[in-house]
Amino acid sequence: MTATKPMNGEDRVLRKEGNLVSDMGGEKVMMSIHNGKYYNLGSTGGRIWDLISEERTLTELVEVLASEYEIELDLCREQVIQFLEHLTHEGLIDVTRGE
Amino acid sequence: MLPVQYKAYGLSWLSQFPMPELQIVQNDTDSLAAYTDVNIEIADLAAQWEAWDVGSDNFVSRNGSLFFRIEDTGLFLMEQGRRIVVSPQVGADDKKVRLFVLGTCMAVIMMQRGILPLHGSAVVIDGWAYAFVGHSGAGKSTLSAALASRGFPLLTDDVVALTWDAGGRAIVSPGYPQQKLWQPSLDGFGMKEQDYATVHAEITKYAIPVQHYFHDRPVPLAAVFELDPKPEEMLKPVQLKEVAGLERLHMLCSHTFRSGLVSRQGLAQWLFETVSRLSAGIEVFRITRSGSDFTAFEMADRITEYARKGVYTGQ
Repeated sequence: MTATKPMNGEDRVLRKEGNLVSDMGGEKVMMSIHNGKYYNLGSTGGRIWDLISEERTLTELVEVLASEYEIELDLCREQVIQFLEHLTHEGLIDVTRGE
Repeated sequence: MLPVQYKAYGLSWLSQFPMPELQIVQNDTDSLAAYTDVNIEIADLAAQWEAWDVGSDNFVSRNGSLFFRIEDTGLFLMEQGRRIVVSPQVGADDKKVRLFVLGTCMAVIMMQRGILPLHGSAVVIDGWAYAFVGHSGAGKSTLSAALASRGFPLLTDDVVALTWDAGGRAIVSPGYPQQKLWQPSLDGFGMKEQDYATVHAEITKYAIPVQHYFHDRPVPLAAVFELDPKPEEMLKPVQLKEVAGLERLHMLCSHTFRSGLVSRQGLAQWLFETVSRLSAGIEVFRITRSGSDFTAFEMADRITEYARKGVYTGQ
């Protein structure tokens, strides 16, 4: 995925395996086996991480989260995309482009 | 006489060979004598080492067991958190063999049983345990000795064994009543090296018996302090800084005793979960000091000051 091409609702997202994941006082924390870095996904990020244990489209993901957290779809999409781009940049997820 | 039942790190160890460093379980008075958590045995492991076909590696893990070899010392096998088998090499220094049993072997047993072994010392202040971690030579033992001399008993030296109580609090179990101090620390405390035995023949680290200031009951953990000496910064005062969030995870993982043996045994996820849980329930600090002076008493004062800041009961 390139920075010039924004995420599309049909893009499919799947987390990469092989990271150590745990809970630290209600927040999901992670250590990447590949780069040795530590991450705090927070509680919402942790929920997203759980959801992408199986492949989902961005649209599916946004719908689930918007209803769970009772926020507007557009706002939710914007924040989810930001989060996913961050995870992509860190090499923690795979994104398959959909048309 | 043999085997002898000992206690250390909250476990009862039944050993076929004497371990003078450890506390003996008093058979008639102590209910611990009714059971044994871990057996320590002597056996010839040469054939088994051959059979495991380790190659050039000196450490190998298989099915919940860990097997290692130390040049000129012996072979050591830890099985399922229940058994240590030792095969000393002919002519090996007994003290050195026991150093591995008391250190690496016991720490591996703890990992296999889900007890977190941190590399450090711990003292008791007002009913709470304070643990000091850091790399070899950072001053963990010296700081705990300084605190002990101010009346705060030693809970453990070298390995801090952590478990959790029913309420989720981290608990430190007592180690055994001995401290290991380097020559400069003996000098700092005005102790004379001829009064003490070296830890083993090759190194100038001394074993100090400390029954008189040993605390032999488990205590909940309040905080972990990482000692981070900065020898290049001359004459700077001792500084105490809080360590937050993710940095705690990294710190606690890196100060796990023989942390390399955790992933080797397939326990990396366990360690990560364990330090996450620990991080959420305690306070974590880093203490920096300049490397030039003997600052153990200055550090001891900062620790007690910190530990007692919440004890104020005025209206």
